[in-house]
Amino acid sequence: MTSLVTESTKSAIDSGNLDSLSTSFGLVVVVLLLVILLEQELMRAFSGRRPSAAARSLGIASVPLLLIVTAVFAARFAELVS
Amino acid sequence: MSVVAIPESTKAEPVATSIVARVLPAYVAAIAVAEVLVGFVDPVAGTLVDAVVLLAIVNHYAWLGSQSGTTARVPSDAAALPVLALLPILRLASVAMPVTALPEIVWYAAVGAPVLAAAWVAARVAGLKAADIGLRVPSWPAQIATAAAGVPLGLAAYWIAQPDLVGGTSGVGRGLLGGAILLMCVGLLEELIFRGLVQTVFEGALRCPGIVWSTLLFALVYASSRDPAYIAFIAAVGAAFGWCARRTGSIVGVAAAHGLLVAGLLIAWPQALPS
Repeated sequence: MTSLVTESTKSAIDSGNLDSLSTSFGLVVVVLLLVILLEQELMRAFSGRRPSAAARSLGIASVPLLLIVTAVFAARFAELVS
Repeated sequence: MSVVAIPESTKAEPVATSIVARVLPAYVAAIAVAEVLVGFVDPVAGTLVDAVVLLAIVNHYAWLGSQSGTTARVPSDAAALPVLALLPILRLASVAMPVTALPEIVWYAAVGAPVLAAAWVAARVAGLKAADIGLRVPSWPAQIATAAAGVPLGLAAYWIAQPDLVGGTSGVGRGLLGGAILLMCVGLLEELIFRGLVQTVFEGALRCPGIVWSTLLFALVYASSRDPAYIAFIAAVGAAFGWCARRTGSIVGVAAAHGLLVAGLLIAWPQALPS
């Protein structure tokens, strides 16, 4: 009933599908983060002062994705440990 | 505050004719497709579309920055791009966060935290200060009156949607804690994004007022609720909140009203009036 936790997420949990789905979701986010971080480094490496401002603008995506990926990895690590 | 450079031509050009304004409908349509896929068809496919759209938007903005010879003073129409990027980020966070091991109420904080970080970065990159996005209180009575509207709106939303009580919030103590989480992670966050950022930077884009854009995008991210009556209600509430935010120059009151609406919808009314 909110945009943060949707009915499709709740349906997936109720049907027991979320664990398998979350692997796919996590993979999409990890790959997306890697692409953006790679782009940021390439912009910094091959350009002068102005494109480094452009590289900083990719932080709009990289900062939240880093937080999400950290949570995904922490959850997977916790699963392995337990 | 650092400001990402954008081209002088973009800065001077009318919003309705600039290159950013011309591609905005395509980005919004792609986000709409992703929302429909996530909500009704295949969540993984929707997530993939969101990932591609996010990549396109941030690269478009980075490209504008790399083409620049000057520093723009935003809000300009180019600032619409980092703000629009918040929508796919919101959906990616909501589907990818591994929350099943946590009580349901904690999901809102877990999903809200990265999106709040993204909103902060987007505002900073777009060169917007706190006062620009309505984080100020010019008149307390007006904000308190606006906030109070959240209680009856929460009851109306509960009457329409009849949701179950959110897990981990039964009882007074947990209910209050849950209400505080919803106030911050739903009320403040969604108002910051839609009435604070979207309504401000989309003002005049394609000759539409910012309130039209904020209401459209707000209703769009609620499409996955799968309830037409509730989506219509949310769109009406979004338009009313947009009008209040514009009239008072602050999002504080509407953020509190939104928080009270959601806390009533998901915690208070399901306990007081169980269906």
